Amino acid sequence: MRLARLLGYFVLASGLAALPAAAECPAGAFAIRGARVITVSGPTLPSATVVICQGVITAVGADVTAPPEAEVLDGHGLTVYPGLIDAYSQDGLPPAARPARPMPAAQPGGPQPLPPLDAIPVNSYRNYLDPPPGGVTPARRAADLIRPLGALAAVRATGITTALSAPLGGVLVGRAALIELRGPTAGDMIVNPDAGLVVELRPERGFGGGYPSSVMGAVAVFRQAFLDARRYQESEAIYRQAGERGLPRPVYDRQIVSLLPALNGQEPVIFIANDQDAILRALAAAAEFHLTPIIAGGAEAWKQTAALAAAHAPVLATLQFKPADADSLGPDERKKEEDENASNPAALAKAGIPFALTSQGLTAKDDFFAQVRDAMSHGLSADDALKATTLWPARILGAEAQLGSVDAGKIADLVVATGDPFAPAAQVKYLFIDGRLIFVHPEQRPHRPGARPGARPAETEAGR
Amino acid sequence: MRRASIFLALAAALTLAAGWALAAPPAIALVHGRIVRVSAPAIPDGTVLIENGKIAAVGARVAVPGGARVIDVRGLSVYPGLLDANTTLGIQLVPEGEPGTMDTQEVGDFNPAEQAGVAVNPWNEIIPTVRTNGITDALTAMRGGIIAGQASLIQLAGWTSDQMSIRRGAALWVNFPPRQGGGGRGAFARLLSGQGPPSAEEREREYRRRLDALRDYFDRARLYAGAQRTPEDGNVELDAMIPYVTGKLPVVFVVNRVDDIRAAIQFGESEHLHYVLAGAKDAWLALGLIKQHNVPIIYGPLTALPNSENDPYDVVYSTPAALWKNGAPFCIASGSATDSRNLPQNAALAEAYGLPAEEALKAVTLYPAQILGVADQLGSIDAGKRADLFVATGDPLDLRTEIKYLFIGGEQVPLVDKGTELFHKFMARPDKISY
Amino acid sequence: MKRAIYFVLAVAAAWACAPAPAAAQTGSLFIHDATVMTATHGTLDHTSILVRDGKIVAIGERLTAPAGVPVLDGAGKYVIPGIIDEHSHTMIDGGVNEGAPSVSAMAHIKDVLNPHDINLYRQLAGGVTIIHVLHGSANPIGGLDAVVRLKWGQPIANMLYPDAPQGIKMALGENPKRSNRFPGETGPQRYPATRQGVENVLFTAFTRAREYQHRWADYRAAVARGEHPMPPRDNLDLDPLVQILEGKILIHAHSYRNDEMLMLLDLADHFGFKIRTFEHGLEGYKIWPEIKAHDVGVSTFADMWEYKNEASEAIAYAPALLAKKGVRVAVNSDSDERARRLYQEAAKAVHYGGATEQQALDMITLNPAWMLGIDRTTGSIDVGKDADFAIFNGHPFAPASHVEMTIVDGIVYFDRAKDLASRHDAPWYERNYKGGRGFFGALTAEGSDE
Repeated sequence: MRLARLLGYFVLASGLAALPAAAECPAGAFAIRGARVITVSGPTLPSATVVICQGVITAVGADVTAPPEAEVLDGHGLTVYPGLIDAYSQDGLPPAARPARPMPAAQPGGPQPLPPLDAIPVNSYRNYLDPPPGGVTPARRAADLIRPLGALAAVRATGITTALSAPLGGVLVGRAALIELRGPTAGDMIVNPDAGLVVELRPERGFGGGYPSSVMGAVAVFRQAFLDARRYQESEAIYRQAGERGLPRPVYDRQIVSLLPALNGQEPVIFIANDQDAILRALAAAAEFHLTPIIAGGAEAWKQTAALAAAHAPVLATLQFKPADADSLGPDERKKEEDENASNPAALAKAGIPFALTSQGLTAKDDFFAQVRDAMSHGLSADDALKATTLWPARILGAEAQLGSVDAGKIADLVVATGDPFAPAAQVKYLFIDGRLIFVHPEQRPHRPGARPGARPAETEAGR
Repeated sequence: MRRASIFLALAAALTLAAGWALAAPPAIALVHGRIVRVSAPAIPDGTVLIENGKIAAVGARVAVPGGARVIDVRGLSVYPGLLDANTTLGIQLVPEGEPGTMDTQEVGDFNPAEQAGVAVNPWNEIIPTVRTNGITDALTAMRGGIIAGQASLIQLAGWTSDQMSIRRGAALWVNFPPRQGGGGRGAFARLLSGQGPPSAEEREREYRRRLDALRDYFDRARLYAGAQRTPEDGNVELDAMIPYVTGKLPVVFVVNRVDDIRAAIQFGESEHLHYVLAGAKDAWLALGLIKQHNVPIIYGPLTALPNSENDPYDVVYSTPAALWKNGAPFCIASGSATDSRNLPQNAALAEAYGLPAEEALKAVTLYPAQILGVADQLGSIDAGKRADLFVATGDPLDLRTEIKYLFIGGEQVPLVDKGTELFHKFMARPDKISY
Repeated sequence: MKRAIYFVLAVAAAWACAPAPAAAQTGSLFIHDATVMTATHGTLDHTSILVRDGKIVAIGERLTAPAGVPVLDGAGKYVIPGIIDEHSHTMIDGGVNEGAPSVSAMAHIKDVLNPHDINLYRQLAGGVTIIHVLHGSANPIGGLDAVVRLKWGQPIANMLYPDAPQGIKMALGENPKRSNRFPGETGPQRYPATRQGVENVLFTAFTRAREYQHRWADYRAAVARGEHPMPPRDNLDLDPLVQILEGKILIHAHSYRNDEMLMLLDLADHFGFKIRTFEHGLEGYKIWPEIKAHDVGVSTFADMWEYKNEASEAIAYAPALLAKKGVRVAVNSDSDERARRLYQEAAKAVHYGGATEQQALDMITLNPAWMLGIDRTTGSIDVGKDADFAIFNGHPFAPASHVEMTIVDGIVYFDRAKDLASRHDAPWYERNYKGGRGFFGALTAEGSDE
C-alpha cells in the first residue's frame, strides 16, 4: 500500500517536473539541446534548449526540457541563431525578362517593300504629347511570380532562411514579397505578399530608349502616376457618394489602383538608390506624396545620415563595395572608394540609422558572407552584423512579431552551426525553416531515437 | 635717226621700269611704331622695312628707300604674326557636313603620305576670321587614325594653296594610342551594335595591339630607309616616312594623359626620333621626364577642363608656367580651326595664371617657330625673316585690342571676313520691323 | 572634391558673421578701397562696399568697417557683380534631355540637380555666382528650368534662387529635328524632322493646352458652385503650357536661324504669350528690329560658329551689334569649360564690333539677370541688391587677370589664396611632388614623377 502511494507521488512529481516542457505537440516537434543560443533580442545563452512545435519556437531556455515526442538534436559545441534574412534580393523569381536591345535591321540590296501604314500617324499629338510611359508596372507582384527554384538550396546551406524578393526593371517596378526559402509550393514560401512597392527613379534605357529616357523623365513618370492614383481615389469617392449613378464611372487601371496602398501609407515604398543624390531624390519624392520610404542599396547613405534620420528612412544596405566606375579609376582611387563603401554599414550603425545588410547589387549571392566579413573588417561589430541580418530587417519590413530572433512565439527559422554566424570556418549543421528541418549537413548524424544510420530526415526539401 | 634711237631708248627704259615694277611690289615701311621684336627688347619708336616678302630691316633708324609705301603707325605697336602650331585651318569647314565633304580624316590607321596642305582651300571662310586676330601662320594637320598624315606649315593668305605652303611636310602627325582607350570609329561601332563599353582587359589588349602596330610600322620604315632599293621596290607610304624615321624632321605625338605622355616619350627615345608632344594636358605630372629628355611640348588648348575631378581647378591654365620654369621647349596652340582665332586668348589665360607676359607672347610666336625648326623664317621681327606681322592698338593678348594692319608674305591683307561683312550689312538695316 | 568642401566650409566659418557658421546662409563683410564696376552706374575708384546679411547696404568712398564685420582689402582689385551664366547644363544628373517625347514639359530640372558637381567649384573660381540650369535642346518643348546660386557645399534647397520666376526650355532648328533617331532603335522616328513639323508640334501643343485650360476652368467653376464633378486628369506636361498661356512662365527658346525665330514670335503672338530669350539666337543680328520690338533678350555665344550648318552665318560681331541696337544681349557658356572664363567671352564684344566695356560687362551681369527675371534683386552692385561679387586682381578684361575671390550672399565661397594653400596639405600632392615642393616651387633634375 505504502509502495503504491510512493509510486503515485513519484509519478505526480515526474509529471510536475515535466510541466516546464511544452504541452504535447501534435506534429513536428524538435528540440535542440545544450547549444549556445544567440537570441539576438536578448543576452546569449551559453547552454540552452530550443523547442519547436508546428513551425513555431515554443520555448527557449537553460532549464527547458525537451518534450518526449520531440526529435532531439544534440547541440553541444554548436551555436543556434536566427535564420538570416536577406532583405533585398531576387530570390525565387525567374530571370528577369527584359527585352534585348533591338539590333539595327540588316540592309539587303534590292527593292524594299513599302512600310506598313502607322496605326496612329507619327505626327498625331497622341504620339508626342503625354506619351505612354514605359516602366510603370507596380501591379507586378513578386508573390505571383515566386517559384521554389533549385538554386535556393545552395543559399540555405549558408544560413539564409528568409528573403525579401523584389522584381527588377522599370520606374514603378512592382511589389516585393517577404518569403521563406523553402518549398514544395510557392504558397508555402509567402510570409507577406505585399511587403513594399519597389521604385527606381532611373530610366531603364538611356537616350533613345523610349519615354522615360532620363532621370528627370523617370521622376515625372513617378509623379504623374501618383497624381493619377490620387485622382482615381478621389473620383471613386465622388462616384460612391453619388450612389454610383449620374456620373461617368472612373476608369479602372490596375497599375494605378495598385499604387493606392502606398499612397495611403499602408505599404512602404522601397526606393532603389545608391549614390547620395539618388538617395536625396528618393526622399524628396517620398515626401511629395507622404509615402513611407525605405532605401534599398544606399551605398553612399553614410554621406546623408542626417537626411535619412529626418525622413525616418531605414536602409536595406548593399554589400556591393566595388565602385560603379571601377574601371576608369586608378588603383589607389579604387581602393580608397572600396574602403569607403565597405565602411558604410559601420557608419550607419554609428549614426543610429536602422539598416539591414542585403545582397542588393551583388552579382553572385555566394559573395554575401565574404562581403559581410569585409564590412566587419571595416568597423561593423559582429553583434551589429548579426542584428543587421536578423532582427533589424524583420523590424524594417514589419515582421518583427514573426522573425528575427530566437524567442518563443516566433517562426522557427533557426541556424545550428559549428561557430559564430560569420566565421569563415563555421559550418551549418542543421537549418530550420518554418520549424521544418530543411537542411542537414551530409556529415552529420543527428541523435534521434530510432534513426537509421545514414538516413536523412524525412522532411528535407531541396526544392525539387 | 636720233629721234628713233631716243624713242627706242625711252621705250627700253620704260619697259625696264615697268618690268621692274611688275616684278617686285613696292617696299613698305612701318614708321614711328613701337616695334615688339620678341627676340630682342622692344624698340619704342622704330621702323620696320618690308621688301620682297621679307623683313629687310628693323631698328630705331632705318633708311627707307624711295618709292616705298610709308605707313605712319605712331601710337600703335608692331608684332610678329602669331603661329598656331596645332590646327585644322584650311581643311576644315562645318564638321557635320555630308560624307565626302570633309578632309580632316582619312580611312585606315596609317596614312603617312597624306599631306594636309594638299587640300588647303585658300578661300576657306574660317581663315580670314583667324587672320583678323593676328594669326598669320599655322601648322595644319589631319586627324584620325594612328598616323594621321603629315602636318603642313602654311601662311594664312595666298592666291593658291601652293603660295600658302611654307613647308608641305613639316611634321609627321601621330595620334599616340591612348592607354585608357575609347573614342574613334571603334567605339561608335560598338554603340551601334548594342555592345557595352569594353572591359579593362579588352582595352588593355587593344592598346597593346595598336602600340605594337605603330612600333612595327616605324621599324619597317627604318628598314626601308636603310635598304638598297630599286625603283620597283618603291613604296609611297614608306618613302613618306623616311625623313621622320631618320630623325630629320619632327614626329608629333598627340597625347593627353600622363601614362600616354610617358609611353610616347619612351617610344620616341627607343626609336631615336626627333619627337614633339602635342596636347599633353597632363604634362605637369611628367615634368621631370620631359626635362630629362628635353621634350618640346605644343601645349593646348587651354580652353579645356582638367582631366580629373581632383586636379587643381586651374591646372590647365597654369601648366604653361610650369613648363616654362621646367626649361624644356614649349609653345601654346589652339588645337582647332574655328577656335584658332582664340590663340591670343589661350596665351592670355596662361599669363593670368603664372606665365610672364613676354613668355606668353613668345609662346605663340618664337617658341612654336623654334619647335618646328623654322625660327630662321618666323617668330620674331628680325631682318631676313618672313614679313608676317601686324600692327595693333596694344597687347594682342588683350581681348580689347584692335588690329589695324596685317601683313603676310610682305603683302598687306585686308582685315575683312565673313563676320565683318555681315556685321556691316545688318548694322545698316533700318530700324523697321518687316512682316 | 571633399577637400574642397572642407576648405570652403572652413572659409565660410571664418568669414560668416553668424554664430552658427555651418548653418549660415548669408554673411556680412566689408570690401575696402577697390575699383567697383557697378554695371548700373559706372566704374567707381577707391570705393568700399558694406554688406550685411547677404545684402549690399552701402557703397562709397568714405565708408568705414563696423566692428565685428570681416574686412577684405580691395587695394588694386576690381569688384564686379557676380557673373550670371544664363545657359548652363552643369549639375544635372541622369541626362540633360528627356528627349523621347516631342513635348517634355513634365520634366523638371529641379528634380535632378546635383550639388556635388565639381564644375560648380570650378565656375565659382571663374567668378560665376548664379547659373541658369536648362533642359537640353532635344525637343521643341523641353522641361522646366532652375536658377541656382553657387553656394558650394550647401544642399540643393539652399542653392535655388528664392522666388526666381519659373522658366521653360524650347528648341527650334537642327537639334530637336535630329534627336529623333538613335543607334539601335527600331520603329517609327520621333516626330518632327522638319522646321515645319516643329511649328506644328508647338501649335498643336498650345491648342491642346487651351482645351485643357478650359476643362479645368469648368471644373473649378462647378466646384465653386458647390457641385461634385469628377476631377479632370492633372497632366504634368500640359500644366506648364497653361501657365505659359497665362504669362506665368518665362520662355527660353534655343534657336539659330532668323526665320525660325520669327516663326516663334508669330506663334507666340497668335497665342498671346511672350518669348523671354532666344538662347544662342545666332542669326538674331539679322532680325534685330523684330527682336527689339518684341522685347526679347538674346543669350548667345561670343564667337562660336561653323560647328553646324545652322551656325554657318553666326558672327562674333553679333553681341556688339545687338547691344548697339538696344537689344538686351547676354553672353553665355552652354559648357562647363567656357563657364569658367565668361569674363573673357564678354570682353570679346569690345574687340568684335566695338561694344563699350560697360555694354560688355552687362552681358554677364545685368542682362542675364533681367532674362531670368531676377534683376530687381541681383545683377549689379547697388544698395539693396544681393551681395554677389567676383573680385579680380586687375581689370576683368585684361590678359593678366584672374578671379581671386567669389562671394555669394555675402559669404566667400571661393578664395584663390586658400585654394593654393590647401594644395600643400593634400596627400594627393605628395604623391606627385617630392620634398614638399609646392606646385609653383622650383624643380630639380630629379623630376616630379618617376
